[in-house]
Amino acid sequence: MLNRLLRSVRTVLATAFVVALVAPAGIAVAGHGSDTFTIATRLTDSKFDPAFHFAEFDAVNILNMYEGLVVPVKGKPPTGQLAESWQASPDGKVWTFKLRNDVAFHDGAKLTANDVVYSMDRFLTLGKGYSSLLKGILDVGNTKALDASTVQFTLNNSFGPFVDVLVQFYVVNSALLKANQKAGDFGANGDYGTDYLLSHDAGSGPYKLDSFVPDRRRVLVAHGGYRGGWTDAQFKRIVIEIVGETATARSLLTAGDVDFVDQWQPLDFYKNLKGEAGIHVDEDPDNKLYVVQMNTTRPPFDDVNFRKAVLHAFDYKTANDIILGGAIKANGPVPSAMPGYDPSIAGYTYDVTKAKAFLAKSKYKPGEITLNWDYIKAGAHEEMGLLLQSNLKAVGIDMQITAEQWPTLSKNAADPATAPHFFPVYNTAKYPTPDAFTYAMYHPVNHGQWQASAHFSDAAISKLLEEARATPDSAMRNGKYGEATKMIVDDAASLWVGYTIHRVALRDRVKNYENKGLMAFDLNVYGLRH
Amino acid sequence: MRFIFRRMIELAVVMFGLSVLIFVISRVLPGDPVRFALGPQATEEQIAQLSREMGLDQPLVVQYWRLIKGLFQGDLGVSLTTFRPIAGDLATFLPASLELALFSMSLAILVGVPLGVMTAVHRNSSRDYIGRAVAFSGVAIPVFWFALLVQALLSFQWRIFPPLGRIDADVRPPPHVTGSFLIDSLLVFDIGLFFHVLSFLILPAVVLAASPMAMILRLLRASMIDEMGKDYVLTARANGMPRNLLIHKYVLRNAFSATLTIIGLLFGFFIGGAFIVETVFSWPGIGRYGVRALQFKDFNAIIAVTLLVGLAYAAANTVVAVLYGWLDPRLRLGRR
Repeated sequence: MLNRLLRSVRTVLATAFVVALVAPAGIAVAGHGSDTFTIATRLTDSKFDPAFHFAEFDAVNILNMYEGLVVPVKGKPPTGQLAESWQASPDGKVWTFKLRNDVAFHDGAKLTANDVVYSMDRFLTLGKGYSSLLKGILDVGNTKALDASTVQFTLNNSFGPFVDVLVQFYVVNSALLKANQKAGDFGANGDYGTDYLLSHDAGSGPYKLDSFVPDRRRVLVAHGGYRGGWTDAQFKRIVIEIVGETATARSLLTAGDVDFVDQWQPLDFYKNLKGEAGIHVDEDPDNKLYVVQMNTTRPPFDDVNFRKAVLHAFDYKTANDIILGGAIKANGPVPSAMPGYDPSIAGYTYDVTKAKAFLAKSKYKPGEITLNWDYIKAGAHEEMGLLLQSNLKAVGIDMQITAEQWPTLSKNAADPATAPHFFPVYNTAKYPTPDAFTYAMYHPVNHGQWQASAHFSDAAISKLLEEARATPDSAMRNGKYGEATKMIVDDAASLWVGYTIHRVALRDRVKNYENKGLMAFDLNVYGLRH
Repeated sequence: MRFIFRRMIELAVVMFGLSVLIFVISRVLPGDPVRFALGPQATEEQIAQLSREMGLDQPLVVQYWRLIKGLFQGDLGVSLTTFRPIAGDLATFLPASLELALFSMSLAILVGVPLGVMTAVHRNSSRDYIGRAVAFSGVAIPVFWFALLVQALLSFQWRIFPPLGRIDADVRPPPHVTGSFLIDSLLVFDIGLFFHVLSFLILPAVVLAASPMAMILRLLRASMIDEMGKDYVLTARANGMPRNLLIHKYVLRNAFSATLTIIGLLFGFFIGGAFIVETVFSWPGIGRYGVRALQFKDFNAIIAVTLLVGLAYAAANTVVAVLYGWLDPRLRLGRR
């Protein structure tokens, strides 16, 4: 029996050896054709339904398979995608969009205004993903098709940044979803096609879903009938590989098995790749703010002098150069790459003398209250907390740091009674307007959202932000946001640390890559060349 | 049959206990999974709406009843992160995990058992020393490091094996019959595809099998040495029984019980505990899925994965218990 077993083992080993020999490298590695764009990401699994997406791991699917009325342009207001033109009523409540008439869905059906109506009502009814951006602004049933290529939105109130918010709204093929809908909670609309979109797409974008393995890989292929046409230099296929290990992602990139590694690797990953043959690391200021929210309703932060003391006690250079790996020092809440950014705002500097002077003016004494820094164990929050702890110690203020889970943190932060003294967060722009960094963070109507966890309230600033929101003209609107920003900075509403750098690594063969400043819009593969 | 029936009853009781335990634990974990699921932009209204849709606003007893009812109907609920049905996800991940587990376990047994016998029979010889060195390395080398090492050398340096996944994106998987790409490719007589799939399986399987193989080797060696010192072996040898017959028919069979226990436990480990190997090789298995479910506090997925892994452990140990009876008739007779 032993001999038989040993013979079996030898046979297995010999087979394995033969397999090893016959498995040529071309089969062995991912190495796809030259017109395939392969992305390595460590982000988790994703969805194909534009009504559900809210993060980068969804967006890479959605923005390549679907189209919206408008798309963001770096540093500028959005431009039309499905919309040829649009206009707002003088009061900013009624918005009318003229659609292109040459748009076909992946099944060949022509896109009409009825698809936009269906998509918007579906988006708002399902109430997931970015539909929260339109909460209280647009209600179900207030989107009308005036004719086959004209659609009209009637808003509840004047809302100037409406077009900016629409960058996160995508149009689905209504006939396809109706044909594939199952029984569900939405009356005549059944399940609104949600089950179908778990494994299919219903878009008009340049790529369509080819196949996917949950938590492993997605493959998108070119939509042959795309109105923009195709050239030989474009990528006809996108392969998105979920790669959990940083070391593996690096090896895949250097071996040429993937073309692109997204922004979610540790800082050292990108640093170490600089100078590597055939690879370049793209670094660009992002519309992402690293901010430490201070609970302004809670002592000692209900005293503006104490807040100013903290802002002057903080070592911004170490925070931005070392901890955030080269971030740009923030002068206020609005990121430097955002339309409407005002470079004339001075912001706060590291100055211990000034910090002590403001502390002397404060009604609270240093050491009187131990501050707490509650953070999620991710990104730079722990190092940042340690830096601030050390900086505050130098002016006599004690601070303790506590790691928590995100659901607990965001829930605590929503309530002024439970929000910690310091709550560090990254705030990434989801739509290209200062609104997300002013109104969303400092208007009392948003108290309860984690972005507004400073629980800041100032009647004059609130009024100015409301006026900005009601201004249809983008230049005038940004002027008002700028004015409000200055007042927010004067009130030291938060500790604004830096505007982070967006870093990705890609093979030299990939051309035309550009960070758009909005989450994941850089991964619009149709615009890339090889 | 009564012996097997009794074991099946025990299995059912264990699974019921596990379902209650994991349900309670998943509900008392800190943090709100719905906030995770809906992302940072979610409003309180959205959070309340999804809680209602998921039945999380119901009393715990009602939630548990819905869980059990769903289990019997094959409905494990919907993932809070992907909004896909959990049953569908498991149907994808389970065959991948089973394929990797069975292949790795076969590898561990086929290498570990003969080496264990060989090192025991040739105790204190050079073969024994080499075998023990292999065993020591297999146990001592961290799986994570070993996985990265073989991947770096055999995939990226020498380009022999694929670095990750189950199949290349350019290659269509075989038609789904069992879910095992190896078996399904053979069922359609596609030998090229079989070897293509096998080339993806070898590295994760070797890494996953290394430590269990070493455990089997060490355990079997110790049991064999113990068994070979017993009187019946001396008697059999004195009576002239051929050495190979004595070792393989009597000593190995008597020494195998402890090893069989380990093999039973290992099967559960291969199904649920392979997440490091699955992460490094991007193998879409249950282990990685379970870890992600924990990270995102995906209630339904946590319960489904835990029950599945628990079932794998319990079922494997039931099979082991039945095999004990076959190996050692005293156990069966004693129960009568």
